[in-house]
Amino acid sequence: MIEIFYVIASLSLFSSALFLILSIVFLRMYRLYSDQIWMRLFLGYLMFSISQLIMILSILVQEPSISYSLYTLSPASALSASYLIWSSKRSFEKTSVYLMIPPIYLLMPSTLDFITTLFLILSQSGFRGFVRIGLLMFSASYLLRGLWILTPDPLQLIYILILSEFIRVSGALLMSLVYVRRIIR
Amino acid sequence: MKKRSRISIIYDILSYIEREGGEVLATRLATATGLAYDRLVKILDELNDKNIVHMIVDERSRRVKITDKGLVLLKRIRDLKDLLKDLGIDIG
Repeated sequence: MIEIFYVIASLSLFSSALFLILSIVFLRMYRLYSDQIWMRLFLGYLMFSISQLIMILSILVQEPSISYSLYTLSPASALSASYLIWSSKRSFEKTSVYLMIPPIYLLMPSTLDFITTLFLILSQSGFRGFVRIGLLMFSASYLLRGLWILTPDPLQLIYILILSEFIRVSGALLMSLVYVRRIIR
Repeated sequence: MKKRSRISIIYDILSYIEREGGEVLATRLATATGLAYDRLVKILDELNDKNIVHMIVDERSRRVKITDKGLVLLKRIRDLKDLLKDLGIDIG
């Protein structure tokens, strides 16, 4: 059983590196042409990368309270990343509300992460293609996390946890690997 | 009509200049990109300041030339086109 968590942690590390590559691509765009859109995309993908690292730490850390905090922080930071990316094309609109969003999200439980991610995906001018599929998988994993709290059976609880993390890391790989392959040829 | 993103407008400007051999009249560029002339000039001034295009202004006309940095920017936006589209940012 423990091995499965290590597999998930390894895949998360790989996807974190891929997200980091995408963030560097956008940072290079910002250095070439300093438009806000590139900075938001850079920060968004960097946040995705950090979120994957937090997830790995939540698996590796032995102390339950710290592990649980990291476990909650991981989807919150992924959600902040989604919001930063989603808001990037609105750079021409005068708004600073997005700066307030990450700290608010940090307080949210998984079910609200699920609802908010789903809202971002389904919003009129939201995401498409593999980004959409990847985020839907994130959203599904948050829903499972929400159900996890309601499950009384400890064994079932572990299965749900594994399934939820596996769906999440698959979504992260889909969202990063496909585009890194297309951009870096 | 759907509002074009700023990056989409810049992409349209740069790709049109490139298609026309690297240099065009600002008036033709305004027609080709569907931008009001005043708005286009504002954007071109900014691109000129960032060394993406070079403006050649004389008494009778205003010509716009794409720089090497502009060509690099255009290529990189093209490379990112698929990803940007899936992020909801339509480019050209």
